[in-house]
Amino acid sequence: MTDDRDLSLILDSWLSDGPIEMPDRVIGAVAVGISRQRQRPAWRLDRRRDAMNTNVKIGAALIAVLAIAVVGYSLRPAGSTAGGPTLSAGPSPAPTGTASASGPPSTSPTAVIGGNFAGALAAGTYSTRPFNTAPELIVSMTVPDGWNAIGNWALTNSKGTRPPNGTAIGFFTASSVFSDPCRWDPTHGAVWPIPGDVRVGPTVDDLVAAFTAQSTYETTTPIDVAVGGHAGRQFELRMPDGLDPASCDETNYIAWSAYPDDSGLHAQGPGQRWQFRILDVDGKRVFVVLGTFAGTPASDVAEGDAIIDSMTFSR
Amino acid sequence: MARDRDLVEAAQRGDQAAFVDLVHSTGDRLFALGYRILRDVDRTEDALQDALVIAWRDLRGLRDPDRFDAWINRVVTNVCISHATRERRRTVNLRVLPVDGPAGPDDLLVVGERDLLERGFRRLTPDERAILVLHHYAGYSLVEIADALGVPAGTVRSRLHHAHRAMRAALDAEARTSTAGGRTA
Repeated sequence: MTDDRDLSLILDSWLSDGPIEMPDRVIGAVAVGISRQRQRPAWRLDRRRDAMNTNVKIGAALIAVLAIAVVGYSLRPAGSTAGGPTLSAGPSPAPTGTASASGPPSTSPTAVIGGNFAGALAAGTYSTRPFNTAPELIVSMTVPDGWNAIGNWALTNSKGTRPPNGTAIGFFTASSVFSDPCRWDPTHGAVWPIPGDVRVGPTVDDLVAAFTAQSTYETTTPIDVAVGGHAGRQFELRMPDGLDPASCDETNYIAWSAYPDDSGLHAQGPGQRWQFRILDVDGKRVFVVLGTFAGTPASDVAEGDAIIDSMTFSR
Repeated sequence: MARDRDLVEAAQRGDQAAFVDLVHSTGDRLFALGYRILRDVDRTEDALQDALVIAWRDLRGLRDPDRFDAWINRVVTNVCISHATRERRRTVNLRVLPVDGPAGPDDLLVVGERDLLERGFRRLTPDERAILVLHHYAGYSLVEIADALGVPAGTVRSRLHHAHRAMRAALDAEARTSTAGGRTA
């Protein structure tokens, strides 16, 4: 019988065997890889971290991004005579219902929201590639006046993302959830990003089940939904009443993670409500989140719903 | 190291050459770590390439450049776990590790034991493999492993205990078979 001391010595010895030098070709491959990979700005990685900027409004986010992005541009529909560069946008509203990601891409010109863009969107049709783990997926949507893009992964209206009445839309994937989004860092020394403590299977139902199984927050009963003809499930997750994210680990309330492939999202303030539409887009699980608060006007919520309902997926 | 801190900060500013220099200085250690989790050179190369590109992508999120080593260890470990998880869904082709030389009286292991350990290791979950490697090869404490994997220390303790038990069982099964004078069915 192998005793503990012997086992430890055996494992130490066995694991010491093996290659200890990285082949040079790895370095070459990495050099090529990083030349094609944009670094995420720190603010995007910390899209969950607004504690560093306690009064995050769309303007502050714009300043941070415009320093490295296309400066001074706003996206306007084709034909606009306003000053500044213009990008042609598609005709109003894109068809919904039967669009398929496996179908041919739209031939209508559509303004593209790039990864580094942040700014006002004039009413019109826009497309973006918001999913790092599915970069081939193009989301097209119709946006009314008064909305702003935050990179290629989020939109917010003129009230911003924060309480008491903000509204925002974000695009995400997830591979794990946190059983307690307020206590997501049990070691009190983790460096974000980290995986959640609840690993999730690959299907829509797996992710829905993982969220709705947690007891530290409330979720509504999931219902069937379709966006752009792709089936999924919809429910709303509500932060506990009276909980301030500032009291959570590293002052952030984080419900899910897509580590190592992507980041997550933190609550923008007390009373955050996240309406999830978790979809299967031709075998790829993605989701769209509508972030609101109790004070968000019903008309703003409806506007956000309408944007999401207008979404189609293509490749 | 002051030099590595400078390189990290330069890489965070977008200096690709600085990042490649960091890869040069840390690559051997990271490759060794990854190999011991994945047990296959080709898969380790793939995983390490993925991990280093992810590290480049996310590097600006590292607030303290002096924590680069711990941070990149964690990135590599978690990418290797992801790769190992995907690989478990495929047919496992066992590869016998090459032995560098004949087992001598001072060697703790003989060829047969290495094969048993290899088989036992492959039956572990990817998380258990990573914990075993971080503990026995990289010398991480339970708290350090918990930080690397983003799980509570108690979880690390129980998974390490399970991994030890499984590896001990793999070694002891052969001992029982040998003692009995025959092979099990």
